[in-house]
Amino acid sequence: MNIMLPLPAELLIEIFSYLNNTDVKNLSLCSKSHRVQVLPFLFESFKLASPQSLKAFQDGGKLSWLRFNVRHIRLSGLHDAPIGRTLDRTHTYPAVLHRFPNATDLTVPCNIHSQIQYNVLHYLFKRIAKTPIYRSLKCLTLTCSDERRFPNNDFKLSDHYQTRFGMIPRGPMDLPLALGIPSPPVLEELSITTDGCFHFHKPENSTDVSFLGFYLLQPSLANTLKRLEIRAHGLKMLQPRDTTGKCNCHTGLGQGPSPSCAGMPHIYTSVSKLKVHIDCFCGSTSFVALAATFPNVEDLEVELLRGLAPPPTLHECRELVIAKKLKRIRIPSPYIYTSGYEDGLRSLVIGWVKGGLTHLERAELARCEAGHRNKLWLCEVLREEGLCVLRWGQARRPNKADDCSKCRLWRPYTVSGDEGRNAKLLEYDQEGYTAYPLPDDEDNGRPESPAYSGSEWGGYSSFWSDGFDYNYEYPGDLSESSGAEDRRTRGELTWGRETSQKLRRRRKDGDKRKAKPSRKHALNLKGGRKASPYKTLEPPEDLYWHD
Amino acid sequence: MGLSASRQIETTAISGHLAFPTTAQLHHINLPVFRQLSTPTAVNMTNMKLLSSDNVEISVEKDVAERSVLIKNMLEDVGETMDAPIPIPNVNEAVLRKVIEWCEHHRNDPPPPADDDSDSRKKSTDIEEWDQKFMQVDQEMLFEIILAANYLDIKPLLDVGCKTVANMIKGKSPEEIRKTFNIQNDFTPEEEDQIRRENEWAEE
Repeated sequence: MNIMLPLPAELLIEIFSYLNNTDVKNLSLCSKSHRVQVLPFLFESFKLASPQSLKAFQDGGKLSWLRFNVRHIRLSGLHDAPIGRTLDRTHTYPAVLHRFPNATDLTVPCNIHSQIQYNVLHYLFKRIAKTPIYRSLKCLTLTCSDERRFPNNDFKLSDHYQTRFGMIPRGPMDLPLALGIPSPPVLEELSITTDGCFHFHKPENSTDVSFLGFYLLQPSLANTLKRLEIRAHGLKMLQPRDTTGKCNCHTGLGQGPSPSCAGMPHIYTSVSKLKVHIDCFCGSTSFVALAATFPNVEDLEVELLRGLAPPPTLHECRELVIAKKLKRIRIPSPYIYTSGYEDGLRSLVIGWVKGGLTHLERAELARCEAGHRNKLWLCEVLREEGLCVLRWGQARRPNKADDCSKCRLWRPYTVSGDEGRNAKLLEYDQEGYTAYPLPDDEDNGRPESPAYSGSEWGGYSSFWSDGFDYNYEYPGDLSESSGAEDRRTRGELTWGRETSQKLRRRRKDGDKRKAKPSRKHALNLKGGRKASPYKTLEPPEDLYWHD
Repeated sequence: MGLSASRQIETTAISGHLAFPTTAQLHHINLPVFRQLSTPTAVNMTNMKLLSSDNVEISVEKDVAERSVLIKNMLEDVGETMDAPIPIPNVNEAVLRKVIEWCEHHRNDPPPPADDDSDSRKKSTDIEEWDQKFMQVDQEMLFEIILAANYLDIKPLLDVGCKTVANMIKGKSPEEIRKTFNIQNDFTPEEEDQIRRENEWAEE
């Protein structure tokens, strides 16, 4: 019997949607029937790399029957091979793309030397643009190195490659006159990673030119793009012209409006999701510019590399009210010089809500200054019958390394898993801004008996006490109150008490191992969604016998 | 031995004084029997009957049965008066009882949030503790529950079932998966090598 999953296809799809490709690969290694069952899912995303892989998908090839299943193609081998081979691949890859008529998703990791990158990318995209999949391309992921230095006449490829790549029409200063490549007509999602600075404009009389910038400049793209992600060292963009036609951008420090600046050429009206992950804002970039360039953005996420770049000012953050459609905001929390950081943040969000962000559902403010690691304030905006209630909480920022690990960059927007669920929440009403605790709910383990309320529960009594210290110990006398007894029998209090006794014991014994229960366990306490923590903790020998 | 065994119980049974867990504790552990006993009488206790594929009538409260979108729609079409049992031709008694048990536990669940975040490519496989225990059944039963949930259109139960199966596969080597599902390996070592190479061409 080799029926592992006696389920119809629609349920298999459902199950596979929970698995990553490594699991599906392992599944395909189980038996022949499984392999057949699983292959169509496995090759939804296909990595063009070795000659064998090209061969398997050619006419009559072993996997050619799967061509129609391929949705996502990665042109790998453009960055880790010797440069000659990379150049050859830019020639061969586009020639086979027509074999995958249903592919809508293309990933091009192309980290080759900056001096020739412009030429190579130009050539590659010129050829890709001629394939049929370019016309149906919905999602494009581009990874490039910084390629601002345009090759001058002294730095040339060999004749062999020069004839192939060197066909770009040049203007003065050896700059390309035009890209000559149309943007994909129905492209919805664009994700760009570069280790240089990303430009949103075409500088005049400057050698500071990049393929990516050119590519994004095309007017047609501004109408189709729905989701845009930029990961770069820096981000340079100019503000669109204001109504008087004057560009109010500033180039450099204290230079005033630049006479040569044409302003942002396009306003990306269709972009609803924008994610920017950069080390710093440079030039005239700010939230003002972002909001003006992407006026219809609903999800905005800006991540600054913490510690290095100054966070935006409160004033700049307030300017986000221009983008009226915003539903979810995740930005670095601003510098607030006046006393009362929390009041500043609160006034910021209230300013957004009152200023016209009528769709705002959630704001996340991540602190990126040095010394404030992993702090994230969440604010949920609840609207009921004209009353607007802000629910505040704190959480840990998701691990950044985690976030960067893959090129497939779109990640769930909200704080992941336990962190979000267990964030402590306090409410503020909009009028008085007075804090009052939420009604008891099992999720955050808030005590219901009055004996627990107030300052005894450090974490809950005030908004700004450390929201993450779940490692509280229960005061000993709590066991006397009937409420505690009740809760303890329900298994909600035990762990804390047990731990505190254990800790005291350990301290007495001078045992410093596990001086604090790990956060993992602490989180498990909440809501009890995972296995109960007290099963994994070995109680001290005599804990319950001499009590 | 007796000592360590009773200590084990006490660790679980929290209060530290009773060797045998009280009703309240069992309630916490979610034993289905005690859940039913201790469930307070619901306000709207209209009973109705379901007829399983092997012709067993099962009485069930209306709001519990309405966790199934199929039954809910059916009741709405028919109207309030429904004395005859509703036949569920694809589900046998054992599975139907199991499904009803799940519905009873989740009768007051709020409707799931509209999940419009299609961008999260891979969904989380976290399962609630009670559901985890509920799904600790043999594989045949598990697949039957999934099929029944699909037929009865109980999306949350279907999700839990699919997650359970996904968790049985997740992070396991081919050999471990074979063991879990009792699969015979019919590849030669050369074929396996070849497949590993081909798998390289698929994205991680």
